[in-house]
Amino acid sequence: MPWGPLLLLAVAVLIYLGAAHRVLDRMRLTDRAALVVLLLMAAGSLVNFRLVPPPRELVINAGGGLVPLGVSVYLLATTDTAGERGRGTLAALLAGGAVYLLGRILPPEEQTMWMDPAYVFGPVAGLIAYLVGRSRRAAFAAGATGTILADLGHWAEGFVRPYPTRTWVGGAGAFDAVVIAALLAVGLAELAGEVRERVAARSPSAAAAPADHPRPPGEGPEGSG
Amino acid sequence: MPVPSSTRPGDYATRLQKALLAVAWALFFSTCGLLPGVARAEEELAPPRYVAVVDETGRPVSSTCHILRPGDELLTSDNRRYRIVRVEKYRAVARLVAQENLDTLLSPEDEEAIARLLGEPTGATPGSRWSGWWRRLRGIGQPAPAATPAPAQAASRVVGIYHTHSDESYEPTQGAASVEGKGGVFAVGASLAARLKEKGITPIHDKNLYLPHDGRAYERSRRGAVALAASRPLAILDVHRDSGPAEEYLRDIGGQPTSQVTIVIGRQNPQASANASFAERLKAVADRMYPGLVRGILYVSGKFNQDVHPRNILIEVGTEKVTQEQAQRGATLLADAIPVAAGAAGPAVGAGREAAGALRALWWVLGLTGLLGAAYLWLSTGSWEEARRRLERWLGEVTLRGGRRYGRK
Repeated sequence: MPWGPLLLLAVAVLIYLGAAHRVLDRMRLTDRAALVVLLLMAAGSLVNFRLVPPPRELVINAGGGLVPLGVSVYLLATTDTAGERGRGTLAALLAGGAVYLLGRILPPEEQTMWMDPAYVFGPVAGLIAYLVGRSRRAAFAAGATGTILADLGHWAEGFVRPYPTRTWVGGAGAFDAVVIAALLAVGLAELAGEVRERVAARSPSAAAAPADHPRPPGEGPEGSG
Repeated sequence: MPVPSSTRPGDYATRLQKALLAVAWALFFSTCGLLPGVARAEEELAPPRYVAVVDETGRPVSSTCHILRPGDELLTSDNRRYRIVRVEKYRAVARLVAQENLDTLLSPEDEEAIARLLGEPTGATPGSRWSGWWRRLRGIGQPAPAATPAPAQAASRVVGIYHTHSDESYEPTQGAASVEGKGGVFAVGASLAARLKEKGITPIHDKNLYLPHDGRAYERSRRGAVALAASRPLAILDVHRDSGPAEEYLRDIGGQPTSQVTIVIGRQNPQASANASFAERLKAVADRMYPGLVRGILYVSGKFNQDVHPRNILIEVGTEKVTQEQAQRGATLLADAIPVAAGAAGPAVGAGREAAGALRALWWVLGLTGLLGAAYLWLSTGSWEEARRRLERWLGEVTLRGGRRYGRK
């Protein structure tokens, strides 16, 4: 491969992984834990597990499927309250339905849309997650799990099709739609949270409120990461 | 003067939240089919199911199933570069912007390899850069056997083939333009693979079905494309078929009706420049070997998973109105040009252009990252002053960590 595209690829990967590390960092994962998750995603990209044999084959990639799923479950399981956990789970289910249905409704040709469909699913999942779950953790879980659920919907569809089907969850590893959707969802939640906080901070009620619980540096407006 | 309660700044947060909620539900319900017109507006292509491209005087230039937008480009069979300036439903108006000379993309090694493949006299001594040219100029040299493959110079001898739209078929042969699970494009891909194998290339033909033909098809096929890219191939081809009348694609090549091939490049992709460079080399080689085989190159929106490899292209072989055999013949002839275009014959002239294009994309990536980072910092801190302070703090920490690691205080 010529050096130019190679350098471009290297820089793009570094920026992508840097952003991913930053996102994981914002969810009460330590620096080291975030790095371990990233390494697992990268290394796991090469490992696939066949869960169901042909003709209705279901394969899951470790880096693009299992690791994001594991992180999502961990993030939801370690939330502060049962309510938050419930909202996060509901957000993931709603996001799954939305991604699945969007996939069926959006035009099949990429160039008929003003942006790549791969970048639509993440923000939609993120928006749903933020509004229902109100946290970055829920956004990550909804982005990743929503895409995985949509894939499972595709796999289930295979049972009514007259030809063999293969569903490959997270097959593109760390660069799969599962991971991209999770990162974009957190990005959107972060943006929405920051904007909302800026608007709230300018309101007289916020100015008058006592600063009993100042937000620690790096924490979002909801404080739940 | 007191602010009316209905416009108090204190309500802005709630209002913003409600607005966001409304947008979210609108998005969600639109996906459920309650607002199908919004989401499906751009899907109504039939009939006719193709876009006619004309120049500014109204003369036909080309046609395609791809929806075009102003700014998209088209390189025609005779190397005229057009830019789309206006789109009127099924008619795109294009302006001639350049007359390209793709011959400059071919090195003497390429010329040698092409001559060898066509069975023309070359007289080249392996390793001599100019001898082939010189001998051909002097009219001496022995003809080589027609089927002799090009000398292996590139490390990889693998070409990946896959089909994102696994249902695309050929009506005259299969009775329908779309056959779920048995698309005619698989037979076309198989012909391409078989010919590559004859040329000493190892084809990897991914026969997975990425059905249904919906908005997530490219997302599903991305997994196959990434797997193909992992085998470090010379090139990757996503084989499709176009839409439109048969006469738009059928040409007499070598005395037989043969389907032409259109190459499609997704412009919204950091590797677009490298992909385009390969596509143009492929056209240059094919033009020498089988004039008229490559109908043109389309540079349109989208990325078609072409970001996973610098020589990943989408090819449209014929339309639904040509026979499968005519499409297979077109794909077979194109396979002859692929090893030379991908650099199997020697150092590719296009490599410099690929590097320059990648460098441009690199600056874009870095610039956009910086811009987004600055916007995020401003948003999260509330002022440029505070953003600068936070950045300085962070840089200070990084420097301090680096200093400690290397024993500095």
